[in-house]
Amino acid sequence: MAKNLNKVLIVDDEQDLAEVLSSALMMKGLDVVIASNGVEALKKWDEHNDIDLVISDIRMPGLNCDGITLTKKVREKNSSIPIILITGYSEFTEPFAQKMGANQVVSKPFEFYEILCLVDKYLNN
Amino acid sequence: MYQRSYLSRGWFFTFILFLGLGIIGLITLQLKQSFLDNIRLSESRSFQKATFLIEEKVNSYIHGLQGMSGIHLVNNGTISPRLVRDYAVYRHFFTNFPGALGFGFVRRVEKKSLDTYLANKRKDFKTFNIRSITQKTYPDHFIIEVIEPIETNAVALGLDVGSEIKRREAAELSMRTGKPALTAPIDLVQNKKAGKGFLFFLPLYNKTQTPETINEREKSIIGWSYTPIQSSGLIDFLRNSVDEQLVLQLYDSSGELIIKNDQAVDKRYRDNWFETTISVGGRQWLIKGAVLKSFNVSMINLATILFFLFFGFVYTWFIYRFRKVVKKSEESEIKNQQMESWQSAILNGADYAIISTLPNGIITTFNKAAERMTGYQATELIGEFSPAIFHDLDEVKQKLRYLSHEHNIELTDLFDAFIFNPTKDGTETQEWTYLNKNGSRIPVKLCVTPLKDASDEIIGYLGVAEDISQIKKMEATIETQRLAMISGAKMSALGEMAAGVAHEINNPLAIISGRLTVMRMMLEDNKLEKENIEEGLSKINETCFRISKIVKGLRAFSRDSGTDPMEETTVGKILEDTLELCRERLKNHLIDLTVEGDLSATLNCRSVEISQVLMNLISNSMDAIDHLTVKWINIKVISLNNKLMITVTDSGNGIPQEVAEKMMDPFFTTKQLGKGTGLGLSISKGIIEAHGGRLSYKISEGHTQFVIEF
Repeated sequence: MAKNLNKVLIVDDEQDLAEVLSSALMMKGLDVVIASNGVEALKKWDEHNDIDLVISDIRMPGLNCDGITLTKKVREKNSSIPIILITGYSEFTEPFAQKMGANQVVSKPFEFYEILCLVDKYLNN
Repeated sequence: MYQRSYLSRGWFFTFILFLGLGIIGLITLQLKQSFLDNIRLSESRSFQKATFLIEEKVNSYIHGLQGMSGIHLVNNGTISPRLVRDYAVYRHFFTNFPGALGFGFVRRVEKKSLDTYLANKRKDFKTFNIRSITQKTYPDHFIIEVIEPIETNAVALGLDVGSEIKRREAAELSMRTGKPALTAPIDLVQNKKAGKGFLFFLPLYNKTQTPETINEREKSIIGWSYTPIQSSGLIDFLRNSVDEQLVLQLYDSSGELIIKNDQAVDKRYRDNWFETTISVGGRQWLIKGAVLKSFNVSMINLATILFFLFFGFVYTWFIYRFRKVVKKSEESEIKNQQMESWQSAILNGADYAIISTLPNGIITTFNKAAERMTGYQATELIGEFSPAIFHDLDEVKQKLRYLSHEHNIELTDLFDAFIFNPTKDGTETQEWTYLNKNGSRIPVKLCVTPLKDASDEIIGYLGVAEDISQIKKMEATIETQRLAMISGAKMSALGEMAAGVAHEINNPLAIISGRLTVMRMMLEDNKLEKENIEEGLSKINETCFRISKIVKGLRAFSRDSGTDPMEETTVGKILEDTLELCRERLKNHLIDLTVEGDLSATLNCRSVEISQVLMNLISNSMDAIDHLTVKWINIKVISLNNKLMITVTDSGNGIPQEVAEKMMDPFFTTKQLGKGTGLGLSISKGIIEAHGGRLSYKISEGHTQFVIEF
């Protein structure tokens, strides 16, 4: 707990979803940065430089920069930062995501508490 | 076949020819025979007539003699020459008794009384003398006492006819039997050179009645009425009385020839002699008769034979000519027969019902296929009924009502339903239903044409009907299969959409779940204000609405739409419903979809089906352009002059030729196994065509474009 506030980067093209997730995290006392696509997320990553956790959708509009690409790029910059991927598609399995460098994959539809618990888990570690 | 038939006919003609000649020959023979028979019959009659005449004539001598006897009776046993002479005159002697030389009386005188008799006789007739014919002596004499006319018979007067055996036998026979008796042929004393003659005796007794016994007759005999007959006189009579062609010969029972009426050479006589025996004066006469070989008869025979021979030649010639004519007519007959059997074979071999009628509808031709389709026999209908009898009457009446309404006239004859338009326009093809006798309904496609003669007058109608029940069945099957395929393809499309749709729903669900979680956290921290609640609820409501819209679209899409009614729908509405289901996928594939044009244009359609086609085209485009850098799809609606055109263009650069040729075929696919059914385009095409439209592919400004036209 070197820092006062943990900072979470939320990447999702669905604005409503990003907003409600951010509200919930903020309620838990976390700092939140929102990006609507992978390119924007990398830009925000560089701007803030103190991101503690990344939550990203896999399928997102944007040139060659969906959740998987983002994970690879983030992993290049920081090998230990927890990355949680969210997907609606069944082909993105847990082993596949881990191979790509993500810590956890959450399939839609999900319980909101599940996300919050995972955030707690990775930040407290 | 053809040649053999000729050969056999050749033999047939030869046979006929010889048969004809044979028959002619037989007829000739028969006629000749019949002719000869007739001749023979007439000869026979002629002979019988002659026989009868002879018999009658001889009997007339008896009558003459009986008359003589009567004179004797009335004159008390004495016979004077004057009386006999008077009698002869009275009886027209020489006319009525041809051949008779005179009438006379022969007296029986016993030997012992001869001198007394002679003395008495010489009292009246001083020169009366008795002469014997032979030297033979008998116990009595039969002396010719009277013979008239004495002028020609003087030589016989006083002759003792009893002195000669032939004359004596006849006289004695007459005496004993009491009946007339003839002598055998003798030479008469009057004229020895005139040929044979004979004497005819009739006995005279001294009693009125002929005595009962021979003994009494011998005792009471006085003498005989008699007449000498010269056979040549009979011949003269016969010459005049019988057929001059007839040759007669009379033989005495002694075998001696009495007379013959012709001296002609024997070879001129016919071979066939008639013979008969008559009984005259106690003798049996054999009459032989024959007719001269007549020149006429041979001429007639010859003429007959010549005639028939001539006839035979003419007949033969005719047969020969006839054979030629027949040969020719036979050829054309064979041709006609072939033509007829061809026509009959065509008529009955055709799988189409061929029915012709008179102008009034009465059936004149009804082929086998027609019998099969209707269950009626040609013989039941021809000349009796109109085709309406085997039609579904409701259809016929409906057509009649339609025609009446259309042309504003009153049509009542059912047959008009079939011929009204053909009469006017030349021909009409329409689907009808035949009611088969067995109760089944046979859908047919009937083409009716008027039949016209050379002067363009309608002389009847021709109906050719095709049984389309198999086609109908196939159409029904195809329709079922099409619906099944549409359904299958739809399910397949649904499967493809499922992932996208899941995504569409997942996000709203996550949003709702998130809102609820945030609100609960606020509640737990006692920070939940009214405005937070309102904001959260409105977001949740909004998101729920989003979900329900997706679900509605999905439900409509999956429903069986094949029997939906056609409804007037705007193209905009159809597009909206369609795009709702693929927006998420488009977004995920980073495809820019634009819609332009007259979205308010309306279309009478099954909107779900049109939506399905659009979905199929969009899906194909998405797959086709996924690998491209520039990804866009453009949908344009153009409404022009009652025509509606929807184009779906994507950023692709066209479809390879070989693929384009086959892509509308069922089950053709370029996608990986399991990725596509290959039914999409073919079914889309089917749907559009079922709506009376056309689905085509082209390249527009270098880009792939599908065009739906209505």
